[in-house]
Amino acid sequence: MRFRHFAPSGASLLAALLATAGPVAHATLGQPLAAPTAGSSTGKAVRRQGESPAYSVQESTTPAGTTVRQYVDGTTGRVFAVVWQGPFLPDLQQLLGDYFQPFVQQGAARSRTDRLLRRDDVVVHSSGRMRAFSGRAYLPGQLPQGVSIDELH
Amino acid sequence: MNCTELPNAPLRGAGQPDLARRIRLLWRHAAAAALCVALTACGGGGGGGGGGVPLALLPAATGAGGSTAPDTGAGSSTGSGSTANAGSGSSTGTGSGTSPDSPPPASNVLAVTVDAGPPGAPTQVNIPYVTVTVCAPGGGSCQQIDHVIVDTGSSGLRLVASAMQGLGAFPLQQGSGGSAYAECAQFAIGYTWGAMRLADVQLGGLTASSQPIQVIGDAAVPGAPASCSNGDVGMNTVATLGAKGLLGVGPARNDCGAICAGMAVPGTYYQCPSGGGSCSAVAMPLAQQLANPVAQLSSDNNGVLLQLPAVDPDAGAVRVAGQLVLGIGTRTNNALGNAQAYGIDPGSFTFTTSALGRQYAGSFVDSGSNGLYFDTTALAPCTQPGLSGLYCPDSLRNLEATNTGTNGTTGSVQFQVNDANSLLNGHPGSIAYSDLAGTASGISGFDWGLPFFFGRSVYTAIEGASTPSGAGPYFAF
Repeated sequence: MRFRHFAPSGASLLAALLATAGPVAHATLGQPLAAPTAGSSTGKAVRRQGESPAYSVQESTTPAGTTVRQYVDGTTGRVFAVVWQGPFLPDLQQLLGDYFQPFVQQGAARSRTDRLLRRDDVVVHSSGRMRAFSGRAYLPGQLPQGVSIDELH
Repeated sequence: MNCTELPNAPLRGAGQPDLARRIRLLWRHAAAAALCVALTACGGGGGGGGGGVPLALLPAATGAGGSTAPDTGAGSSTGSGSTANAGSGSSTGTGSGTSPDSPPPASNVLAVTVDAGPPGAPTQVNIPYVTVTVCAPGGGSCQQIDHVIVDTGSSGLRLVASAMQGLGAFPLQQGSGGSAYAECAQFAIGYTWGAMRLADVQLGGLTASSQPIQVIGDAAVPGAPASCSNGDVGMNTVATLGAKGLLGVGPARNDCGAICAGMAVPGTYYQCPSGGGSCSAVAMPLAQQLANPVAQLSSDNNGVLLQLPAVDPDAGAVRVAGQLVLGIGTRTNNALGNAQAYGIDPGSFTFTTSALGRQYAGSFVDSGSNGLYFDTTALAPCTQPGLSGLYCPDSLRNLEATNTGTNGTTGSVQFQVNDANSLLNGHPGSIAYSDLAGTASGISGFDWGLPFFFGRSVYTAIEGASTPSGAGPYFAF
């Protein structure tokens, strides 16, 4: 797992490196990070410590090589965004939780390579094809103050 | 008039009414009556109509809608008020090459049609179809399957079971103990699932013998396991796939590749026990994976050239005819000419595009995408209901992009983006638009979908294959 903490502005940060390897925490959009579950992938952890981090990033890679980054609100501990990229789709049902069904049922399928759900409370955009998938989901109303969508990549 | 009228019927499976609405935008439900003029060209039968239409040397830029002569010949685009033109180049609008005594198409040519799709499927825009013939290995049980999507974004032939006859003649790929192999193909909007069978695949006059194909919705294997469906939409019928199959002619030799040969990847290959029970993910050797059938031909096997005429940027076209030429630089009809080869990453098959002040890593050329999809703030998003995620600029925008291949090749291309609302709602009879564009996720590349192909010659070179412009993989245009 990989953690990065960010402050919303350019405050000077004291960086510390915590290298860990272990199972991936299965988290869901809008929910707190759950306890780690065995049997997934391993990764490195990087922690940058500063005053009141706006959010942290948990990064994991599936055995088949798809990277998933989950953005965790530094105050509430809840996941407010998920980004994925890699050769295969990640388990979107698990990553999106309650937002998965609306995404499947109401998302606009413009092409086999693209599906978009844009609501006031959630945006999910999945695109690509085998060997090159990517996507991003976030909760517009739950972005930590000062955080821009553009930094969620 | 021999055209199939598409009913304005609910699509997708029963009990899933939302899905029909979900695809309302580009998978249009409009009736297609009275759209076709050239009766012999409708329906995709015959497999050869229009193959002789000369399309060489189409202009590199999608130009303004100059000539407006509607087509009258079989296999060329037709239209009530819309056009298919190629600016100063040749076009299907001339009606040439379609007289009864014209020579048959070369053996490496397949006619391509952008039309309203097969009966029973929702009308979609910007989908290129070909007719493929499959036979049981060694011959026999030959059948033409029309309305198979030409997809440079995937590899391998997938056919819907209901579109085939006498499936039993096509042997199942089997593992130990009589188990059957099956495949799952995951897409951004759902999945296909079905048995792996062997078939002789005829493309034009050429044959790839005893190829693994995916038979979508094949009852010889149990339903899709949870790790394949994953709660998403099954595209396992003609209605839900919007086609009778997919012909993947992308840069990859196999659809999954080395990773699936080395490990069981959920959502790809499965083994289904003979006595019933659920199927399990399994590693699949390259030789048994779904393969790009072009790479398996005995000649003209290094890639493909897809040529489509330009269409009017305001009105679109109700039907477009072009051609898929097998091979690159193997004959006079697939010479590279002035096209530049843009090398692509051997893993993701992507290159880099710069446009509208932004750089898009992970870009690709995909005839199976029905729009140009890229993220920008320079174009106004549509606000109309049902057009979410498309661009609606005030007027036609002439834009330029610079593409950079992994081989260092750099070149610029012109492209256009028009108001999606006026295209789709202002010309509801049209089925092909060269300037339809929409948003992307912001972390994805520039998806050069089918609009990019109109008025161009676009080459897709297979990985490791030798061509006059060097080895694949690359896209050239």
